Amino acid sequence: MGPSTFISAALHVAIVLFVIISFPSSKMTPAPLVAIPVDLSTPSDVTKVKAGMRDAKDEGPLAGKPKPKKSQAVKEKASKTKERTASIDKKSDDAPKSALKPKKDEAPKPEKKAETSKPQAKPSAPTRRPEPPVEKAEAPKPPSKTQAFYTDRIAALLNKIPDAKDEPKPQELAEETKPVHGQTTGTDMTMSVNELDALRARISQCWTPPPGGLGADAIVVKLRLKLNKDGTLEGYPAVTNQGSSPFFQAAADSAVRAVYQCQPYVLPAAKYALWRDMILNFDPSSMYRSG
Amino acid sequence: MRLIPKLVAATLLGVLALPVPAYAVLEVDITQGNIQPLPIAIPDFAPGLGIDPEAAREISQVVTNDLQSSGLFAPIDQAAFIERNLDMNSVPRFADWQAINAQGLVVGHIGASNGKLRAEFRLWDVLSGKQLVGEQVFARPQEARRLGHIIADAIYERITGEKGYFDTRIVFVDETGPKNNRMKRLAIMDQDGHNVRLLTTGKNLVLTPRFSPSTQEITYMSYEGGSPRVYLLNIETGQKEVVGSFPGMTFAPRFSPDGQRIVMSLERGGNANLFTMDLRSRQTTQLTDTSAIDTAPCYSPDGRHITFETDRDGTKQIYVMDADGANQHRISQGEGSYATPVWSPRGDLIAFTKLLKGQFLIGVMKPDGSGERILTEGFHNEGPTWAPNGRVLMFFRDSPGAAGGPRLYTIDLTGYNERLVATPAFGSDPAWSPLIN
Repeated sequence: MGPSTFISAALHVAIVLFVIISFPSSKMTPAPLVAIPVDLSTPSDVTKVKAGMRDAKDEGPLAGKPKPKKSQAVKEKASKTKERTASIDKKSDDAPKSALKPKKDEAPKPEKKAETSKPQAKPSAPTRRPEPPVEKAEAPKPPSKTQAFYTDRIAALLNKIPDAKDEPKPQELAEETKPVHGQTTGTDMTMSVNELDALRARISQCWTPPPGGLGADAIVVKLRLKLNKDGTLEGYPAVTNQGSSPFFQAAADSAVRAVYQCQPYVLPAAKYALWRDMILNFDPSSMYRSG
Repeated sequence: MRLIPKLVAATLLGVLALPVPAYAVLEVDITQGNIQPLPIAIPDFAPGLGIDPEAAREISQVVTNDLQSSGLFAPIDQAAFIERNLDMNSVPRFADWQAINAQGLVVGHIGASNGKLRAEFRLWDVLSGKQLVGEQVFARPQEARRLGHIIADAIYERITGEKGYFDTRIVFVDETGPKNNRMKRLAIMDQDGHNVRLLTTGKNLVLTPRFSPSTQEITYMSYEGGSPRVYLLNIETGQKEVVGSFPGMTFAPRFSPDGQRIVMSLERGGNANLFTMDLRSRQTTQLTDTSAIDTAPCYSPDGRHITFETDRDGTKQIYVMDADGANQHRISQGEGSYATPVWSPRGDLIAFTKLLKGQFLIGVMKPDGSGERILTEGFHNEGPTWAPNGRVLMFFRDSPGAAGGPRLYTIDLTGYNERLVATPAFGSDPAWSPLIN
């Protein structure tokens, strides 16, 4: 046992102490969680990305370099949010009032109208209706008693691919008709699965089919409706098929009531050309079968 | 691809030619909806000259109660109404009715003409602003409530596509007195329990009254004269007669759909078989020949088949045969025993009483025995009868105990919307009339 033993022992103790002190403090802290953004895309979104005009000029940048664009888009989005709120404030000034004011003038019943003034809730949500105020004055909205169900809001939440195009100004949307190679806003004009599902769900909520009867389950009512840009019905919907059963008239009436009750339809304004004219097939057969 | 030129061309063509879709129109299938009662507003009917406002109000109340009782309409409380004092001849302010979530609006007026009451009414679709029905109906002053029933039928028919059943009557056995000594009298009333009228004195026990398709006659079984016999009674004249002259007792009668024949059971030597009797020629035909008890026969609405109850298999079961007695086969397949089969006026279902584990249930099954569904259960439910549109059943439910007794109930085909029919005393064995003409 010489001094070397002591030195060796001291060194060992020092190493062990160093390890005990330094390791737990430095290594045991959990790494901070990093949120990884995941985009859910439906097949229709993919097909939308690919759709476009074959002979379109390559005016815009292709969607090949997503990274710099995305960061830009986020900034754009942030700045546009402000713009939007501003524009919406404006809207909240004229849209709901224009719907309510004329009625107030006709029959002053403030309490009842106040109850039905749900449109006021709308402006707080992002809407994409590009109509100028002049048009609104022309076609005042009827008071909507039912909860408005915004298909485009849901579509906006789900559809994350075209960030930059997600929040265009109303004017931009209206003007943007030029086809752009490979971009979603080309002439790719199809309603997405989500948009159609939302529309279907909305009308299902409004529809109370007749209680049925012998043979009533086989009745399908084909209803053609035309919509204004603000989502209200343009005229009386037309029943385009005929039925000999006594239940047909009742079924047709129930379908007409449903489309009236559901208006205004909040659908993507950019696709107005698609939904301005629609055929709805009201088919209760699966309901009766399950009941 | 090249969609725009196509669109333009197609639009031009569409404009020039016929209203053919110029381009692929968006087409959406709606296959689900809500099953819920239709909210309907029925303001008090306006009284005309010389009409008591209370009488006019009562008629609109009949309409309200009828529609509500069907479970398919939800009349809105009048306190919520915004527009008041509606005029038959002006268009209602639909926005006011939309604001209270009404989808239908009934505006009515009661007047008098040539000693009769005249009711005019309009049914408006509040959402589309379209008039769905506009009619006037007449009735004798003592039948004021009938006006309400007729109007309710018209509204029901327009909204559901089915015939109504409100302007109908029920014949039943009125029961009074203590449980061990009940007086049973034949009675008739409106389907809503009003205007009860006794048809027999109560000296003799009466059972199983059934309506003729003509509504003027009923057939029933009575112990008048000692042994049970089937009788025919004219409701208007009070005239009655024994059906056939059989040596044994006859029971469980029912009319054929054309009203020309009665099918019933004839008991002889401890077993009962089914017979029909032609009411004009008085000719009888034997349909079944077994050593069991065949009873409770009922025609299908097309008159081609008969369903009945028999214990030939040991327990009571439901059978179906051709109207001439051929092709007898059992349709009830479930656990327990089955009785009192009644064919729906629609023809699609047979209602029955089922005895299972000491309980009496009311259910329906298809004429081939499939799709059995129990609509109501409990201590003792029995004797279903169909409303003329085949959507609602009436039956009686007995309650135990010394103070207990039978009461009449209705239930719809879904098994929901069970309602007590208010009668002055106990009531059993109901039979629903066809629609009154």
